[in-house]
Amino acid sequence: MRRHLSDERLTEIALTGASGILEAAHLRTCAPCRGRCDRLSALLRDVTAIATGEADAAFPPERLTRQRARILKRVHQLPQAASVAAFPSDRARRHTPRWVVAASAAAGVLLGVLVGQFTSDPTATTLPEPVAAADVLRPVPTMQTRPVPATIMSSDDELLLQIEAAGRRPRPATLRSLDALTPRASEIVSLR
Amino acid sequence: MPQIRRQGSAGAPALAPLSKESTLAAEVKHLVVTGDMDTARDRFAELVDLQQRRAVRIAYHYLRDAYDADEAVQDAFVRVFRHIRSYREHMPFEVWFTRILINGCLDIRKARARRQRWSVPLPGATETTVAPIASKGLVPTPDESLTARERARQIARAVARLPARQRTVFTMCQLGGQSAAEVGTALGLSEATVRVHLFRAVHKLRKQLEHDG
Repeated sequence: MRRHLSDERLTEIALTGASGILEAAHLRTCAPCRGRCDRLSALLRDVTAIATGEADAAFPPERLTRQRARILKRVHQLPQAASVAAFPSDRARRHTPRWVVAASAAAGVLLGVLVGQFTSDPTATTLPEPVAAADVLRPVPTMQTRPVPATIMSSDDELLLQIEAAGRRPRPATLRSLDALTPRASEIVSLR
Repeated sequence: MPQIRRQGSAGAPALAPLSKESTLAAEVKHLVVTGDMDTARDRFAELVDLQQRRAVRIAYHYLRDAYDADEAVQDAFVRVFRHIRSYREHMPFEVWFTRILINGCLDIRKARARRQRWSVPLPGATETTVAPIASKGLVPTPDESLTARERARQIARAVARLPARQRTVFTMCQLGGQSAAEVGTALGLSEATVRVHLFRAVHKLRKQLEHDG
């Protein structure tokens, strides 16, 4: 084997440590290829050492023990597997003819319209009750603060998703002037 | 305990023999199916012991945040137990589990990116600290320590810059210790595609580190 090994082959050898008989012989005799292979192997060793070193530093044994306990606690809190429900019998599965369903629905709608016409008075309108000034000026009772529930995180995400989806829709022309007046977060940061 | 037999299907990649984890997972599945939940939980605890360290390394490498990695690993294990009935005994457990873990990491990254788009960064926010490469049993001099730290930072930066797919493949192969065939099965890619991503990832890392160094 006279030709130098390709980068692809060298990467493969460095990653897996496995090489063919001819490739191994070439690596023994060709100094440039051996040098490239050694450098690649060293790089991969460094990357792995860095990654595992970082993770192991961030997760010492005590933290792993706590994590394990939390996992098992959560697994214990999972609801038990639901019992298998029996399939309904043939008698219960018997289908009702379609025309019976359609006729029942039509009769229901008709009945609803008729009852609505007899009971509603088109002249009657509901007006809001007058509000006393004292009621308006009454101080608002103080509110008790409660701890934020754990589900707030997912609802935050949902809210941001909805906002982003709304942002992608075509903007109404009436809101453009208001949008132009509103400062952006990036502008505030750049002013600091 | 059911007898577990490896099934070979046409076009399926050649995978390593079943591991201890796979046998244990099959046992947990059997126990859950037969309703023996207490023993299933005990066996599952053994499974957690076998995979936890590896899971933490992958999640941390992927998310680069201890709290997020903690959450991702916990969620992945809980999800595994919840869906253990859908585990296929002829597949390696590590592949199935890694796929669940990586999907969870991706969800967390997406949520984090969404939050970052809507929040103003705090002044003085610094980069995460990077552990230096451990020397082999020798006490490094301050100069060596500094150089190692700088090298570690460069490597961490270079890995962080890899495109998502390349980074996933690289992480699974290099840290997860999985073969290209196993990674392909986990990600729904062909073995050849995994090799291409892996090669590109290594090539990019090398170029970036040569450029930085």
